Amino acid sequence: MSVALRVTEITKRIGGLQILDQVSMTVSAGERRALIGPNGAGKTTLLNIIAGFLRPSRGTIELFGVDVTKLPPHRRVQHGLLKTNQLPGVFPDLSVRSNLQLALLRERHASMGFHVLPRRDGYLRDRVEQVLELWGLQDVADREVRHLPHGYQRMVELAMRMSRQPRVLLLDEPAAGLTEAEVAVLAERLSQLPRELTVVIVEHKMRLIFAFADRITVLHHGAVIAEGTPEEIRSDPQTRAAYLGGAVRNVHADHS
Amino acid sequence: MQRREVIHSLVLAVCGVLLLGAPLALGSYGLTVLTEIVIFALFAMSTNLLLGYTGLASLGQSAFFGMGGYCVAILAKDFNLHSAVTLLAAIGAGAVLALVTGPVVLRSTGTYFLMLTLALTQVLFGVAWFLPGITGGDNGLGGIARPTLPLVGDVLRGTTAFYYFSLVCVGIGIAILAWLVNSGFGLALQGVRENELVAAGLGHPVWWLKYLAYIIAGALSALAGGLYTFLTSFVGTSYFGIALSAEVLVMVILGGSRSFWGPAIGAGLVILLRDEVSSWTQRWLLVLGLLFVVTVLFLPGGIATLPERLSQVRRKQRGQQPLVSVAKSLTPVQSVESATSHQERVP
Amino acid sequence: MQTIIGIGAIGISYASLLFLVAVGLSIVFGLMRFVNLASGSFYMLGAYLAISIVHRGMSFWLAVLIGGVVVGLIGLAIEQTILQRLHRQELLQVCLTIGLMYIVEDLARVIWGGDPLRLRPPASLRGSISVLGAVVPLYRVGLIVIGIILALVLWLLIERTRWGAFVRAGVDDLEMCECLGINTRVVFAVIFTVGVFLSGLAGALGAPLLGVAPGTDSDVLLMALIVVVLGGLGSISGSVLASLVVGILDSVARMRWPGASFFIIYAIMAVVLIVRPQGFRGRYI
Repeated sequence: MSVALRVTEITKRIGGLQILDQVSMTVSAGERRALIGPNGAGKTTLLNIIAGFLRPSRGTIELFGVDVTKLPPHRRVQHGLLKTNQLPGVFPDLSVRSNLQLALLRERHASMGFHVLPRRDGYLRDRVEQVLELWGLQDVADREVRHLPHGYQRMVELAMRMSRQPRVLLLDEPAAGLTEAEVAVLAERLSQLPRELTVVIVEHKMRLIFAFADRITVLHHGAVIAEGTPEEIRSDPQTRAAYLGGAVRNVHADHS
Repeated sequence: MQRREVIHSLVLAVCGVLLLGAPLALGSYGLTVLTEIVIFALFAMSTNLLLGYTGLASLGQSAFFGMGGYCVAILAKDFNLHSAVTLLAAIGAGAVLALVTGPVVLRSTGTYFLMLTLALTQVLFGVAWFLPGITGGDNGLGGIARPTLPLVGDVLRGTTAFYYFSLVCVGIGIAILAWLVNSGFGLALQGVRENELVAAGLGHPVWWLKYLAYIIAGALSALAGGLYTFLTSFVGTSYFGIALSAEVLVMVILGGSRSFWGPAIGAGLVILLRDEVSSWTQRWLLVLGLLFVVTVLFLPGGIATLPERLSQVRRKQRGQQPLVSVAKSLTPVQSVESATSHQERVP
Repeated sequence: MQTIIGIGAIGISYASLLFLVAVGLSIVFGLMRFVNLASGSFYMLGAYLAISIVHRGMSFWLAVLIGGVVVGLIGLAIEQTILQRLHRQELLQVCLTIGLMYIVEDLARVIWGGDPLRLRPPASLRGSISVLGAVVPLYRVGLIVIGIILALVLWLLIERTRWGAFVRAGVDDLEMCECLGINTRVVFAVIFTVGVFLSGLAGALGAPLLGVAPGTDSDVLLMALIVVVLGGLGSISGSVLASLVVGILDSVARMRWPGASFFIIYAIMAVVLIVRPQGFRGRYI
């Protein structure tokens, strides 16, 4: 089983604050890994470091064996890494169609794009139509995204990422702000994701996590305190303590 | 949608015909004003490549305008080069200035960018002031003759000839802008404007996109500056003043930053206002100020969005959704550079 | 030694004026995230008003106070009517201030004409004193004292009062403040008004020293922007430091390379921005 994502001893310090403390994680190809932990545990920071939006103070990130720690975010896309945001990562004032065009523009053209005319480009047009159909967005294709309800914006965001056929997908609280009905739709979509796709998901909605994840990593105060299958985590005393308050031991401290 | 595009093309065609036939209807003075409008249309539209499309509000485009102006003037005065080819040198000078200042200026966004670009113009102001031997200092450089064209020589002396020449040069500039704006590059710029982080996360090289837009805007602004120097036969430190920087920003916002032709409309409006209003009152600046304030308050998308705003009112009355959005905020939603600081506040 | 004291007096008194304008600009930016490009215009208004009031026969200090207050009230009116409508739309707010610049400039020309005007220092501060052998105009000394007092008052207000805490918190993280139930609109109104008042006050105080004419608004604005950028947006101590640096540098430059002082100051600002974009005391961009 090949390793899709290897996070090694990631440490992040800002000013005097220790945000992340020697976090390590190995995610196999095709695995569904959930990242949970109380608020302020550093989950979003970790995702941002993996995606390249933040530089770690120490540690490395490897994608399929390639060290991408020094790469800026737009270069990690070339290695198949895509990420969603807590607030929908879309282009609000542009139409759904334009959003998808922007997502797909870099599929074939790594250049500046001077020679691409999105309106005329047959290939781009077809691809956009394809994605619109796949995600049921044809009716809203020409509406500006900011006028769409939150659930739709999430769909657009997900459609944009999936259209690039990522190998590793980072989801940052995709269910945030969704109604119960919308969460069900999201869960459905998530279960339909290709099996080869590696997913790392940060979420607070535990039902979603336990249904979706293969393995769970628990963060607390920037350190990994537990890791295992949903069953193991459910009965893990450390995790319970972290969520309910109380003393918690750093997993790494145990191993030293 | 189709109807709008047809009307759009019709209006453009009519304007084109009017522009071509203008010398028949306008006297020498009127044609000079129209030439000025055409030149500033290019200046404003190139500024808008940065503002409306990339989301970078710059108060520094006059640095390039002045650079282009001084370039052709110095080549004419000190090197006796009077060919229209000096305009190419002006474009080059603008591009080089942008190339050099870009990495400095682009480290910031929003208001900091605004002030850094303003600082740029003032530094150049100082340089021009400081080297009167080259730039004429406070007095500037005057008596710049019209450029000569290969084969036909000195024909641009005439108002009409120079008008058509400017129309051609500006036309080429605008055609370049049109191409860029409709290309993948233009779409990517809009992505940068909307949400830098997301754009980067989708593979777009954000910094390079901004840098290129900055260079192109600088080069075209320099072209406008060169043309204007030839029109007025003068260039001076006023080209680097805050007044000009603010004025072109006013043109862009007044006309409409989210529309391709908006800035051109703004340029026409401001110059015509100055010209017409100052003939019956000295208070044209007051009128411009009031008009600008009113526009910012009630028509923030600029004059160009007036037809859409009106249809929006009609749509609201019918209970439908609005369609148009407008450039409002100076602080970007998120930026790659500030991602760190944003995160620093929310561990 | 005498030249140093002479330059120091000129520089620091100028710095007092710059500080008053810059601190308003700086806090308004730190809190509301836009640059009030009409700050120079308000300075100019304050100066013109003070001159007119003194010519009506009133005392200098009363004129200065009234000038500042009237300008402050104008600022309040603008904030309540126009600026508020553009809440959080910073680009449009900047554009609004550009429009205001035009309006004020033209109105000033109508009301006060195009000639430079000046004011005589109040009787209490006329003449000069001798400091270690250097002749220093008394008014300059007065300005330095006023500057120090106002800087202290402002510092106390920001650091030691609840209001000040709101402002500091708002500069730090506006969204959090709104979550905490602080009425940001009221804070904005107060801060903007105070900033405008200080600019107007500075203009009135500066009238005996620098005079006022069409064009003063741009000159003052540009200098204030330098101070704000150097000092770090949102920081009072930064504004103090930067205005001292700029004030003294300006007087030194004027003495050695008159005319080029402008360029020198801007070049230094450019260099600082390259090396340390957040200025002396700013935290992050």
